[in-house]
Amino acid sequence: MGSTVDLFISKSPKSSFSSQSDDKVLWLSVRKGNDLAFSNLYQRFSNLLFNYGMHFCYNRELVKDCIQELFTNIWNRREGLSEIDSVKYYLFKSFRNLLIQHITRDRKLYSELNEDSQSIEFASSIEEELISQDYLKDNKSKVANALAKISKRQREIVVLKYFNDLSYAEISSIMSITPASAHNLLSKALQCLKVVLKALLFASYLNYLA
Amino acid sequence: MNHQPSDYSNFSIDDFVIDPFFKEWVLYSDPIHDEFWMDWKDSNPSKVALIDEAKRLVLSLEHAKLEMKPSEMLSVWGAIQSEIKQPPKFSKPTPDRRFFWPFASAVASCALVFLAWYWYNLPKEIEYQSAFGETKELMLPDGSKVILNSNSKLTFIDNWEGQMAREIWIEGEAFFSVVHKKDHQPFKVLSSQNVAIEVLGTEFNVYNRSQETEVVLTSGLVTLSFPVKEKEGKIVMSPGELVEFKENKFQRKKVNTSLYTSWKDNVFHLDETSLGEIIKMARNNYGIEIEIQDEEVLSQTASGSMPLGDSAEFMDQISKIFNIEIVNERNKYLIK
Repeated sequence: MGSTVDLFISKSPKSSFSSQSDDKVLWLSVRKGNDLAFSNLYQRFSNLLFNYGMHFCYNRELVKDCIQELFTNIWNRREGLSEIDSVKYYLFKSFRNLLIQHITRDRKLYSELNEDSQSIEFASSIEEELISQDYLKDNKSKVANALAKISKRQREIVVLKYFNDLSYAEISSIMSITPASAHNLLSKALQCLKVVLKALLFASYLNYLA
Repeated sequence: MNHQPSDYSNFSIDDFVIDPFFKEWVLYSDPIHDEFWMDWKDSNPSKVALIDEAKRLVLSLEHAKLEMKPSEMLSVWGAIQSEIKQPPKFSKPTPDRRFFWPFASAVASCALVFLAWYWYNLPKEIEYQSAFGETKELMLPDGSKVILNSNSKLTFIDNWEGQMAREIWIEGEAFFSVVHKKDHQPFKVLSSQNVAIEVLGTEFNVYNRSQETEVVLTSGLVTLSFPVKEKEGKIVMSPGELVEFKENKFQRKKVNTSLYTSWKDNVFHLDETSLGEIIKMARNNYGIEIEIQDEEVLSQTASGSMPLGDSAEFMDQISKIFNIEIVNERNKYLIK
């Protein structure tokens, strides 16, 4: 009541491995109106959601807007929120819905503005983003943009499974596919990644020879 | 280590890549992981190449991780905070032309105004909480000042007028500068061990953490009451005194009060203060984890004063003062 919560950003590399039971306790406190728990929830998930959002649609401002809207909604509706088994699943699912809402709204706006709507070429732009990050400036790290070279659905499942360790059941519900096709999609994604990585490694090897 | 190893005998590269325990080893290897995987490689020599490829894949995937800059994280948080602090919007009632409705709505709005007034006048519980590494200066309804040290909470019911005393609850540590009221209404601070500090107007420091209450009086007079075996004990404190209440016993001594109150000016005074005490304070106030390899260093003491900055600066200063090596790993400090 009347108190402001200050946010501390901890750069702990392990923060992405939050256990499910911790999340549930946090969720309960948020529902009870504990603002420290709310700030903790934000710290725990905002960057995971950002990473997902950026690989989903690559529009920094839109992704940040959706994060803002998601957390604002949670707090404003905290009393009506129910107990949930997986906080992470809930957040990713709601976040994806918000992303889609915003993207369709933006797209309508675009097509109203000019007839031939400008579709942003995702692959090249996310590659730029990755390269612009400092650690990617050396030659060797160009390997990293391999993820930008696989399909959108493949990229999404890699982010959900690899970066966020969601179960196949949860992923299939988020992406509206069957668990079996989730399995398939992931193995295809990783297969493609391996191929792209090999090609990139070979290319940089040639560069090195030249 | 957060994750447990699985049975890896039939794992493919893909399975390894998405296995949390494997990923943890590749990204943040520690002795426990290393030992497990060295053993595993030794007993599965045919899988070594597989592991290496999975490892490469994990490393390159990790490079594709996108994060907000700390400033972006803060500005999004700021936007959330300002949005949720806005009062809820009321929709305007649509006007109705029938005769009954204006009358009904007038009655309803009168009732609403009355209800609002009633709610407004109900005593409210007010709570202030400081985060780790943060001090907060507060003004109470009677004009008294409180400085809240890190990781502390102060609560009071906002209806002091006409009450026996101005009552405040404290968890953590706070410095009080109490205004004397004309009607001599006492000011009462209650700690979680049922120690009550009663004053008329004075300056004092209260420390209440982990089953321990400590009061240091800077000026004025203070009466302390505390529970002793189903009875209530009382002490009158004079300036320059410290009273410690711990495990149902109290102890009183003369102290240099500035040692106990300097934190409010962001200075930390040491007077033959042991490293052990300093570490206890750092754990409480910064919320950091500190591990000590050799317990012997804890009894070393130091005197002087140092500025109170953030936890990293603080630990850095400590390492210089005591000439010890402090390593910071994953938000945990290791004292060697």
